[in-house]
Amino acid sequence: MKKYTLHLFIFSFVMSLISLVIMEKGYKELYPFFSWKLFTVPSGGEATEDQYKLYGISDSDTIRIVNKSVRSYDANDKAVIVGTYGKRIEDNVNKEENKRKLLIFAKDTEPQYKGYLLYKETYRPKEIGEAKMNINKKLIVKL
Amino acid sequence: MNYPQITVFNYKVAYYMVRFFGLYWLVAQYLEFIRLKERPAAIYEPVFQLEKLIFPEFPGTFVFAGLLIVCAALLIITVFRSSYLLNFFIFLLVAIINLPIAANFGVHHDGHIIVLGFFLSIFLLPKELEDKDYKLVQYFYLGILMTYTLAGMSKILGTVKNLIKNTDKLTWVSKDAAKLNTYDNYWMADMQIPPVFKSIYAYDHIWIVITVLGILMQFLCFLGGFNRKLLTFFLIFLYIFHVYTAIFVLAEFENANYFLIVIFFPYHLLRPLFRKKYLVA
Repeated sequence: MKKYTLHLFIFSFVMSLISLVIMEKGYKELYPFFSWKLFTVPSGGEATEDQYKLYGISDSDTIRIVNKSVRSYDANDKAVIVGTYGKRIEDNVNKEENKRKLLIFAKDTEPQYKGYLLYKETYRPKEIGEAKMNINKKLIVKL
Repeated sequence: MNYPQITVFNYKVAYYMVRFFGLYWLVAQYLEFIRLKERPAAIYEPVFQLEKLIFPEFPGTFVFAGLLIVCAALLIITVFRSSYLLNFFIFLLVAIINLPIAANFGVHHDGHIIVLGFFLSIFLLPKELEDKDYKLVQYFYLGILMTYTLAGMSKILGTVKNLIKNTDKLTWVSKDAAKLNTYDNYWMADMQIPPVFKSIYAYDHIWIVITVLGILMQFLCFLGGFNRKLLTFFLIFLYIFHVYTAIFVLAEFENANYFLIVIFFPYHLLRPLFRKKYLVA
């Protein structure tokens, strides 16, 4: 039986190669032979990048919610969650369902607001860390 | 010892170490599970089709703890009684346990190397391995290292493609590539960029060299599968690489890093220490 280790190696290698090719076409990797977080170009490599953001509505103001790490969500998780639902809502994929879930998430993590707005922000990665950063905001939906 | 003997010896030690590591990993998955369990039930998005079938909802505590306990029992049994079939079930369980933790919204790849390690070692039982089987251990090493080689290759191909097409995309050989990569990841996570990063990345020409060398080294990782000294060298490289990505790119690979140490460690170097002990006794 031990000689089949070669076949396991070949199998996993081929599956990773296929993952690499199909991910380029927008499909998902083949679990559990998925490839790495590959970064063919650096993150921030595009001239402009989009990011979905929640804004909280209070009595007098609308406040851009900054993701902070808490026990059950770290800041990165929060960004991915808002990004996942935000993209689906904008693309009209199960819009109502995803709005409902995003609202549950918003109330769970930032319960102090009366309502929430979903924005898409477009920024230039080159300006991060500079004194002035131009962010283009587009309102997607009110939750 | 010659290379084949060293390779088989190191694998045999690693076989047992992997089982202890596996128990640690299961505990770590349980802690991660109870952390995610605190979220509202609706906030769970399985990524893969297979995962949607197995876990359409985030698993209940009994189910998940049950999987962990069965897997732990198999790991312990295989310390005393190694078996192909049990190895296969361990791989299956590890792959399933990893799913709701690692493939929820995005995919975290910290468990990838670990799942792969259990897959590639299904047919490698310590009692069945002789010195002439060192090639089989090499396939195991290669299978793991190939992950990094492919990651390096895709960066090289991506860079070449963008250079040839002359796109306006920033490539890995551009000035400030590493810096932007760091800054963008911090920005997306809404995290303050530590002021010291600015001084670290101020040496922009040196960073081009570091980035290019880093990508080449990633690509060359497969060489570690053929030479023991190179394997140790690439283990050290990967350790540093993962620590860099954790701090500068916020990509956590803590368990993957421990696992790499467990499977690639040059245990043969410790052998004289144990011999002496026995002699004294």
